Amino acid sequence: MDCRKAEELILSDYVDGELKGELLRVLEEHLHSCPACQALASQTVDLGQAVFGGAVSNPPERVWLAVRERISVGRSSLVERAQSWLILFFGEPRRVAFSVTLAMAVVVAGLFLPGMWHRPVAKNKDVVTTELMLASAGAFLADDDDTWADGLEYLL
Amino acid sequence: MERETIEKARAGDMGAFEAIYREHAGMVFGVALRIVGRVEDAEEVVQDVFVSVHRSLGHFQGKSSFKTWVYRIAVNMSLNILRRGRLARQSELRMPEGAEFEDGRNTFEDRLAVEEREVRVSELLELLSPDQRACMALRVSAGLSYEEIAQTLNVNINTVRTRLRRAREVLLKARAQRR
Ligand SMILES: [Zn+2]
Repeated sequence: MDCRKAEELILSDYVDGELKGELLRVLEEHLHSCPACQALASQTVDLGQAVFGGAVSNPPERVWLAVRERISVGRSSLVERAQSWLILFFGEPRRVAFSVTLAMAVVVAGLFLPGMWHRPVAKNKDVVTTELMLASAGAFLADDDDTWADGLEYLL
Repeated sequence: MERETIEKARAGDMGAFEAIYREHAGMVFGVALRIVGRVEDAEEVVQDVFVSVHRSLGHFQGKSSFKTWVYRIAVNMSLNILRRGRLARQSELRMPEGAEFEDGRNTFEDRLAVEEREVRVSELLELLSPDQRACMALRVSAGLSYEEIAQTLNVNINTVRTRLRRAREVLLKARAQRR
């Protein structure tokens, strides 16, 4: 095994204990005869531990008290509820934002557009309202910086 | 986590839910902290995660492990807060004061050493992408296997492998440059 292949394995599978069988045996053989790769392996472990390791501390007690409070008071707003459901089923915030906007657009269109046929007098007002709502719903999507939660909050 | 406890919590037993919280809150906090980089934000993540877990217990079907399920919610909420936070303040990352490194050393010199370390850690954290941070946190802080990380993040194992390798390359390079 050459150093390049060894480095590749060291930086992931080896230090993470995912390397098994023959490949592990060959790599360890290389490590015995190569001080550079040996050093890389220990540096990699140390650095990972320094940044991501360390003792696990529990969050302060006030966090649990707040959780309990929020659960028992049932202060969960509609937005929070929608947020956790969506995160649960889709995970991807941006995709969710798109689907939600689309669904809202369909609902809004369904509510307002049929009215246009029967109420000619109110026609202009309805069209404007629908267009405004669709435009504003799209606005947060176009702005790449908005989070989907903000968008949801805005829409709901 | 025992099925029985989950069932009880699902049925509204607050004691059972507290047991779930006590078992997982530390790990959720640890992972969140490594992703969002600020104690206050990590506490907010823990709060949101467990309110969400409580609300969604009825939807947990046991297809994935409970741990993976909780971590998935935790990572999603952490990434969300990170995006929101980055917007608000151009990412001034800070590691915990005391929370992580509280080890009884109280002299001024010790305190200084701890603070220097915190600054170094935040600087290194900031070099990584949110996805890389999430992978490293799940692997090193939470001790998940590649398979579990892949399930949690809903990506394939090779993606996990690549993100971890890239993250480590970045960290090693940054350290080498500093010397
Ligand atoms: Zn070598």
